[in-house]
Amino acid sequence: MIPLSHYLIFSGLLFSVGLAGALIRRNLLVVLMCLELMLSAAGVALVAFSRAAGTMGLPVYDGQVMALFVVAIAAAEVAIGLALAVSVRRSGKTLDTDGMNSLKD
Amino acid sequence: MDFPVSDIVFYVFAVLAVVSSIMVVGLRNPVSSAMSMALTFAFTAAVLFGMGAFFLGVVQIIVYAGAILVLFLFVIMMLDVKRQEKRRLDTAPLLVGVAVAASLAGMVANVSLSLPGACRTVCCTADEQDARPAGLGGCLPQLDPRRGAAALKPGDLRTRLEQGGFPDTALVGRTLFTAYNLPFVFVGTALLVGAVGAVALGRRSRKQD
Repeated sequence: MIPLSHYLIFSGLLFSVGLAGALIRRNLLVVLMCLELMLSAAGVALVAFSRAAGTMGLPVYDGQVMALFVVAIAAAEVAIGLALAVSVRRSGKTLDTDGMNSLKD
Repeated sequence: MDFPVSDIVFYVFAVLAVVSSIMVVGLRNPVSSAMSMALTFAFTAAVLFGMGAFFLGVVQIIVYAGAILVLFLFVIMMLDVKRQEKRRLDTAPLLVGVAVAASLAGMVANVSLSLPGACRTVCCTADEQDARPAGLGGCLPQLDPRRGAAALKPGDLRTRLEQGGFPDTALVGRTLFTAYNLPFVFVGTALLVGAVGAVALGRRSRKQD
């Protein structure tokens, strides 16, 4: 069987790659994609803990319910983030985050 | 009854998921990044299936790869985002990004390997496991539906568990709709607010003459 620590290391690696992408890439859409990677990694960690804390042969499903909520909120956040990206592109003509350094249009 | 997924399958899918997530960050064309993200979600769903979380694995595929990713592709196609033309990789953000991510990965690895019950090598022998303090970090407990059936009230779910099936969706629903009913309703409201907000933010502003 696979120890819990290996699942957590996998989740941490996926999260770190998403974090590195959010820091390195300049395209706003790719930054949002890396945010989704981070949320997906957190979901894996939640499910791993729900299995690890299992009693009587079944997992403790609270972790999986929380992972479900994370997925739902990630979907809402992506919708709003992409609407913002569309609106930024319409007003500024570029999706390069280096150019988004002033709040006033 | 346990789920005889061999260990090697988890490691294969985990490595593939990390490789495709690095491709998301590294590829210059945003459409290629989106496709690599689809691969990452698929491999993560495979890891979830290996853990016995069947409902969440399917939700991962349907919602992440099927809705969120498609939304990304719609926006990329609509805005006609070109691939990054020049390889204008400033070394300072690259180094800082890699350093921060590597230090975070190292910290997570250190903490998860020092959980009570964890072993510094791949799954300890039974003697070592007895000698170490019991805790969360060791091998995951086996799934045993017949034992779990004893904790449920007599009913349809209990009989399905006793017959050896593993109705994962029904078990998730049992926790979701009893203990987390109110947060579930709030998440639905949050999704509604998100949809309305996305429509409101995406409108072209009409200038008043």
